[in-house]
Amino acid sequence: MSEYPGIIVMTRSISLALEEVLAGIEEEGVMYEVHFESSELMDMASRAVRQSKLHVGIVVLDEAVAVVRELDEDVVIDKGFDYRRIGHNSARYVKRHRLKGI
Amino acid sequence: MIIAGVDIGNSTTEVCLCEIKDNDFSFISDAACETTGLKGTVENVHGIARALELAVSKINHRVGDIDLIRLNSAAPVVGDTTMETITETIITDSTLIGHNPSTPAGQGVGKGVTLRIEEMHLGDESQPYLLVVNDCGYDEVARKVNESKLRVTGIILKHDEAVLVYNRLEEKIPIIDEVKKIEAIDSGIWGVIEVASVGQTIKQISNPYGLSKFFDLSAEETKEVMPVAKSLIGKKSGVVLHTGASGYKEKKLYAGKLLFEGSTLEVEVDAGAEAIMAVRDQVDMLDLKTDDASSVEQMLSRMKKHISKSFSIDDVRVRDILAIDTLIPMKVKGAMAGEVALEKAIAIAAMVKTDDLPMNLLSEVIHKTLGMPVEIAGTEAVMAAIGALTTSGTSFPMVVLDLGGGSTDAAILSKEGVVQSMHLAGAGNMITMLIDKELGLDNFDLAEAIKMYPLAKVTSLYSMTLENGDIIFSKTPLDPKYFGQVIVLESEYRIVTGAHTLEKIVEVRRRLKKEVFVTNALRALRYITGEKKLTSISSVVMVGGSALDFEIPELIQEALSHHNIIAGRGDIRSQGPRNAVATGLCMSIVERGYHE
Repeated sequence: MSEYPGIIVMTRSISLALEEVLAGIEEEGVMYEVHFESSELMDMASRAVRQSKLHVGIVVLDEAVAVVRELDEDVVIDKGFDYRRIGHNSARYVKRHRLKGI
Repeated sequence: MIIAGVDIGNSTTEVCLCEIKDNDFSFISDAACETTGLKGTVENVHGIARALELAVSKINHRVGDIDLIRLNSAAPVVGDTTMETITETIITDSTLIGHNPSTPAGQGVGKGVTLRIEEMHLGDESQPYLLVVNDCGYDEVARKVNESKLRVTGIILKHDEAVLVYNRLEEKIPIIDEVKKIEAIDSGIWGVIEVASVGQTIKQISNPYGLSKFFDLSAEETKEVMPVAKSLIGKKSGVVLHTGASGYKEKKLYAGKLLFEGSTLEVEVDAGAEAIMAVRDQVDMLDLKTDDASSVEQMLSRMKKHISKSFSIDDVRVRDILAIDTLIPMKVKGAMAGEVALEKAIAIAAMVKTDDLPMNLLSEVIHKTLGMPVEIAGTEAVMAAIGALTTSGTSFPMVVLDLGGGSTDAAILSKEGVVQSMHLAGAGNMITMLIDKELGLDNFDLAEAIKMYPLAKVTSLYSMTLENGDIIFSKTPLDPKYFGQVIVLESEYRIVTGAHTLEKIVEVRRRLKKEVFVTNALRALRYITGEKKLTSISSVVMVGGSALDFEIPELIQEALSHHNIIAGRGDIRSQGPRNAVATGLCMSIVERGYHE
């Protein structure tokens, strides 16, 4: 579990995609933590979301996916290659703001 | 035998089917669908055929099984609505206004001369600057500002990166982002940007005297920047650029005058709805004219042209108007970031009287198309009254208030029969138009849905908070596109576009319903009784499509309760407030006596 309320971003290694996701989260003013792991996409997602005090996780592999956990259920709220937008939207979910470009 | 009562309204055609068997009379079906063409014209036949089709299909019959069609002699009045803006905001090249990005950064005011980031090397160290960034990454912007010796007091960005730049600055300054047409900002213009403190709105540039101080304006010039200041009230951030020449204008459009024939009264349209309605109340038989230059004249002639496709134009006379003041968001001409300003506008619904409608022609066409005999039976108001009387608990003298789509009709009944009936301008369609305009939706369908159904805000993927505070849950997660949105609770959820809060939409919806229907209910009762205080009426029965609305009848009920009038939704044949006229047409055959 993370120490403070933040979005857990899980990835294999540092990449431009990761930077873009983090920029999206930062612009919305939400905290995050980056964890490096290597596993299959949805498996990583479900671990990320469980480690987040905000119940929001993002996995950045080739594709990025933003997953939230509500009522014991993992729900994908955004995925694809628009990494900045996925960062924005996971943070906007935390702020209860409408999502962008969906 | 099967008899069909057919009621053609301005917006809806309703039918009622009854069967007479061995002198027993029973209702067997009903239906409603949209009126095709202008009321009283031969195009109506398509809508009638469709409504009859619907009604017979419910009871496994065919249209051919109908033995007789009874058509009401529709009142020769047609309603229409229009809107005219009476102010317009224009920004010329010299001045730009600010806007409201979701995530500006920093706080306070930055003042200086604009400087494009690619021209930073040309800057003068003694001069304060506002940095204008079109296409440059956040890291690079921050690095350049940090390394520069120039006094940068604020930054204007094209992309949504204000917080990103801010977090990387050594010296914190206010930053505004998402300025879409940033290319239009040249270097060398005096400007101010302001970002509000946490939880507050901007204070300096939304104040005309604040602007006056920043730009060193004279008293006369301060007056001219008033619209700029006004448009920034309530924003979280803003930017004002100024070249010296005043280029920001609130232009007043000439809306013209309304003249009333046979009277010396006249009123300027831009005097507002209250003034127009005060004059309208003083004239008895209305024949509205306008001066040629007015925009209202254009709207009336548009309406007349529309109507005169079916009738000769000389016959068209305006019999009633309902004016409502409104503020509508309009794109500011020449604005940078797609800003909108609230412009004053006036919505006018008009009721136009024509010569008697060619009902005989219509009945012939129906006969030819569908085959069965068609008869024209009695006037609309009488039929509505007969239908409305099937509501239990009504007493005389009673007023039947028909809340329609195109008009609000009223008929007063004494024990002896109908005393008087009248048709007022303004009804359901006017509300839809105003919702569409005031919320800037540009989507009539969505506006109609907002009028008809309650709203909810989606607060999580499994739940939404209704406008009355209740929370409902969904078994499966909602589509993330609904998340955080205000939606209309139709059978399918519809997102309300635009950034309006749920509270704002509810306020607009209820206010407009009041301004149209409560106003018209009171107007109808006053005109029809000739009384100001409404002491002679004991009960009001509301019928018609808009009486089905989930809040209009309650709003009227509440308003009339102050006059000790019992008002309620009609319950025609225990089926609700619709179909009164069509039902009356069926029932009146019993009075007439029908022999097979």
